[in-house]
Amino acid sequence: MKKILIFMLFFVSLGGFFVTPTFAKVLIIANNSVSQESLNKEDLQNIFLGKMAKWSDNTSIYFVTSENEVHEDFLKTYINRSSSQFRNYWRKMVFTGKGQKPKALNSDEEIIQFVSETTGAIGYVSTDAALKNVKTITVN
Amino acid sequence: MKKTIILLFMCLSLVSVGAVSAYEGLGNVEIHGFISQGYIQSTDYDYSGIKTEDGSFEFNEMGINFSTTPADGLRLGAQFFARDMGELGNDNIELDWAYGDYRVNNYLGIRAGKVKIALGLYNETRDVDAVRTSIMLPNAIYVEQNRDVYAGLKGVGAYGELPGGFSYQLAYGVGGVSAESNLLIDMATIMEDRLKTGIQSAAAAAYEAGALQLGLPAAIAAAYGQQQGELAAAEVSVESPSSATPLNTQNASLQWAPRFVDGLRLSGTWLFTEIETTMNISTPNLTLAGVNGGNTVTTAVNIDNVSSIVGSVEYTRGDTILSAEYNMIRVDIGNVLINGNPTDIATTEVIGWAVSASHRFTYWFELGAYYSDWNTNVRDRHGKDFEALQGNRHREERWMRDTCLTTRFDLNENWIFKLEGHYMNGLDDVDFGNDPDPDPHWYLFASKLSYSF
Repeated sequence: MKKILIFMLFFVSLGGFFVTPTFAKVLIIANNSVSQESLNKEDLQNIFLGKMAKWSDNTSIYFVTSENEVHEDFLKTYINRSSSQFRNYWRKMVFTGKGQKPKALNSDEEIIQFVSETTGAIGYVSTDAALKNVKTITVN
Repeated sequence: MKKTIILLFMCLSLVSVGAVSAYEGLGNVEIHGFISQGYIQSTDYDYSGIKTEDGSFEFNEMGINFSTTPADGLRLGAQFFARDMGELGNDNIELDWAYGDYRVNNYLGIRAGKVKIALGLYNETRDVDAVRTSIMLPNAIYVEQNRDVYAGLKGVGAYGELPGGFSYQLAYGVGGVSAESNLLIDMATIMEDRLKTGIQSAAAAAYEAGALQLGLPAAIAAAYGQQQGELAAAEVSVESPSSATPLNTQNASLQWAPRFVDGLRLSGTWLFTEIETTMNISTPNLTLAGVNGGNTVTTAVNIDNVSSIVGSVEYTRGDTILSAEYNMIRVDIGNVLINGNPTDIATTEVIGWAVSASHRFTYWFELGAYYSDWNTNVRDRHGKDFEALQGNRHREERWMRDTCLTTRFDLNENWIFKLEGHYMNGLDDVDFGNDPDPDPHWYLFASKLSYSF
């Protein structure tokens, strides 16, 4: 009986280890020129890690990151990285010549303005941000 | 020295721009850099070409890069780099990478110029202290003395993302190497060992046969042969290369991040290179025994194949990163002409593996540990053959097992301080001088302060 309890405890703890709770307090927004209405999580990761550089119509992707509190939520929910891991990842890209440091803006308003004015742009804002001239992207 | 000062001045003047993460003052040219200064000390002997027993500040690196995107999908950039690790680097500035990169689509990008070599998870960023927890990477995978061979290649490359979470990198061109590369020094030692073994047995047999012909008793003839064989072997020496030129180099990397386990990354990387070297090889005069020799020759030794395969797995869960890597280096040397006689030096395999774990407890504190196991000759894993040869040789010179505990303190986004300790078991790459009985168990301590922007 004791062994069974230990065995069950082991699997319950494994479950806790592998299942990621998601609390999306983040909206993904894109420029109206972007033809895609939704992205899967893997594509979103690849975009913000600089691996996916083109939309499905082969136009260039320009992504922008946030410097406010929504940044940590976005990274944990969609990119599976902490802010320090994300920063380290881009340091690696910069110091091997594989990428340039992502553009980072301070507020939701600045991000919305950049995304609305830049063809092919994608970014993220808090769910209560006032959206204007951008589209929201659903993450599957 | 003058060049180093210029590079240092450039870094410092950019730092003085203010608390900026990067400088973007030249149109759309981005400038980033890093500089670090460390201190390293060991309890016994000198390690890795550094005067560690007395403690040394010859333990630093610095780099600065410039990049721009002149057109959609096109990126140009270059990085200059200098380091000092005791006998290595000496702060001489080198072109670390410089290439043009054109992204055709998600599946294909093209690079031309000097690119970094992908080997294992961390080879491309091995010089950048700010991107990892530990100061020193596991030596079983990232051998500091071989950096010249593994740093980069001049040529062309392709890369991209494939469906299913796969990504690839390919590169072809001319690699780098220096005569001081540990790989070549180890090869000279192994060549010497094999020549000694071969000549010892050949001379022993020849002298024993001669003694028997003179009518000596078998036991005395055998002892005489054995004695002459050992004397002959003692006269064999292969000096480290006096020159080394890299030739054809190929590099391939395949990574897979499976969708069904977030944070898991599997990687296989491969490097193939050819190196042309020149070595001084001395052999004994055994004319009496019918074996040619008696002089020193400077001969070309072509290393037909240095191939490295590294298999890696990394799992990231929250603030914890676990990784394991296995490294196999195979060196094939063709026939070497010694006194006109083709001598087969054959193949050598070197293996290493490492496991590591790190966890970030707070924004500013990270703790990590790794174990690294390096063996310089898979055919003589326990060093028995090596120790059996004449001279002040110890079987522990065949390996280095490193248990490391490391701490990282992020003072802010730009400044990082690290402190780590190593418990070492082995004498590979250790200078124990004439100590007839060196202790293979010793400690190494390192600290480093880094700035990057």
